[in-house]
Amino acid sequence: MVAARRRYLTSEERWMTHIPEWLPFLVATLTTGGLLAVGRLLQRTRRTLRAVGAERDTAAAARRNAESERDAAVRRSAELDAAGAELLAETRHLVEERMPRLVTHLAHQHVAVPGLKHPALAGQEVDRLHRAALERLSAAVVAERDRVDQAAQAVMRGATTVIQAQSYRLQSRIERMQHRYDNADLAADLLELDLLNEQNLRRVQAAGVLCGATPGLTRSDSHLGDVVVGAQSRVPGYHRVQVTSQLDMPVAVVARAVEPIAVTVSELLANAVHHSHGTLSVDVSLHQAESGACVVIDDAGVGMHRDEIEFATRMLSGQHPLLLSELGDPPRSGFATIGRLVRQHGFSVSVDKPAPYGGVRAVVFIPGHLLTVLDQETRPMSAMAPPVDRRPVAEPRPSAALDAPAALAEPAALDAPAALAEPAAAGEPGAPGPVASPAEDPAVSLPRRRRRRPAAPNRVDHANPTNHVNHANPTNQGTQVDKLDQVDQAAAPEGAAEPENPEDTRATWAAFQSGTASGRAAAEHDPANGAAE
Amino acid sequence: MSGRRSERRLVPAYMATGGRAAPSRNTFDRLTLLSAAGGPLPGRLAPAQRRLAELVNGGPLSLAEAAAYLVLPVSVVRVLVADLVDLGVLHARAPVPRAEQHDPRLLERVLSGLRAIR
Repeated sequence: MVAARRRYLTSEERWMTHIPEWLPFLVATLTTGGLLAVGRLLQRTRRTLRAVGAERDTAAAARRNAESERDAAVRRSAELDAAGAELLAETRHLVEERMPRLVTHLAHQHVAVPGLKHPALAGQEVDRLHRAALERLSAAVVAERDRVDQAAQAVMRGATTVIQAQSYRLQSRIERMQHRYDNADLAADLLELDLLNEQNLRRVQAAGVLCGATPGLTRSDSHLGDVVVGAQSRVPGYHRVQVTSQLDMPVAVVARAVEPIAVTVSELLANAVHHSHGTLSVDVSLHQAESGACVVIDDAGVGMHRDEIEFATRMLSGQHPLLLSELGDPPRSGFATIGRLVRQHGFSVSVDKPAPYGGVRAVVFIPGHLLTVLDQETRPMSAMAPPVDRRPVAEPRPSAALDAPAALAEPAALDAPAALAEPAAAGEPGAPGPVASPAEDPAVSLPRRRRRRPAAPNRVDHANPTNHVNHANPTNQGTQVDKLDQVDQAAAPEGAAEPENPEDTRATWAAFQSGTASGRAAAEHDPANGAAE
Repeated sequence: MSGRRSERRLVPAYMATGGRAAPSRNTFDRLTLLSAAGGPLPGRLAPAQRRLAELVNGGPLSLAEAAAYLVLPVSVVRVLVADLVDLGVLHARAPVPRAEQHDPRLLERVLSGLRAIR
């Protein structure tokens, strides 16, 4: 612009040598035009300058914005980095600490599972997800543990069932041999083998029951004394066990509960024998209770700690789900085994009562619905069972029982607990049993040969006792076999209810004998008789 | 009796003697005749000993018969008998010698006579 003007002035100077008339006009015009153009130029320049200024302002603001945004982004990035590191650390904590500890906790309850490493995360999404992960892990571990445990139990069941069956076969074989051979040395070996086999059998059977098998043997109704002595026979230290019976009637266990109760009592006895010194005895007593019967096992051993009693009570309740892996090593399987049986059969076992000898008192309570009463004549106890405390009323006369079945204590009646509570019910005055029972009681009656069939004619003789003269009477109704008894009982004095003793018998026979002798002696010395012969 | 035999025993035989199979005196066999010595039974008898004593109280029995009644092996009952004889509860007598037994031919004739009657 300045240059242009300078150029114009230069041309003007050129034109000063000869100035035409139109020149002023032209100059004016040009000046005006120039001024106008300059004005316009100025305007335009000004506008341009304004625009540039505005642009500059805008750019600065933008830059400021950008800077603040950049700062914010940097801060945010730092924050995110920190959060990421925190998350990473938390996740590492989860993987390296919390998850292993949770797995340990599932096996050993006393191990605590740690919480979040960064408490600030509590309640956040991360925390929830981590918790969910732990729960999933826990569920998976528990499910897998159960599955493996069940599999192990199934394997054990399969194995024990087979071994148990073999042991029963061995038992039968040994028993047959015991009856066949009576050489003393051989018999001693057979008895020893029998004991070893019984102990094996107990172990195998208990292991099977622990793993959910049945006791594996169905018996018929059996006397409670036999069940307990049978259980005693399966324990290594059975010599130290003293069984006494306080029962006053032949209480028996119903078939389905015989083997479970035998297993239970044998496990308790094994515990008692194992945890008491080899010179101490273990007392077992059988009691009748209001609504059932009790087997009480007392040992004078070391007793149990509170923890052990707690463990035992939990196991004996039968409510605790059973895992082989929880039984420890060596496994404490006895109480767990009993717990299984308790749950299946409905009797109960307790070990938390105070023990009289400082050891453990274990009480097996058998409710009335698992009990019955057996007739001693048709189903006698084994010779090894502790004798029932015999009250005359408790034992109905067998022949009377055969004549009048109502006199027998019916097993069904025993289902009602009241029947157990009233032992005299078997021999109420209306029943013929107690009337004749004095003659049946071995303690007070005449000696007689045991028989397996009813001998009614002999009973008649009992009821109408006669003196020895009547036995010579050919009209006697006794059979040939019965006469043997009658010879034994020939000296029955008058009155059947009178107890007779051997002294009386001997005196009677002695009198008879001396009378005969003196009679013969007199006859020999009598010459008239001698002549008659 | 027969029903019991077919069933698996609950109480093994060694419980009768505590595992002993060697009698204190070795003079008993299956035919030994057992009879009660009379007098009250001692208080401290094992259940099997008491059962045997009560059984013999009912009249003389041979050892084999007693074993059958008790459902026990003869070897075990021999031990019980020896114990009871030692305690003075039982008398054991050797079996009646063959010479004093009845003539089998006579018994056979009686038997055939009885059969003829029937």
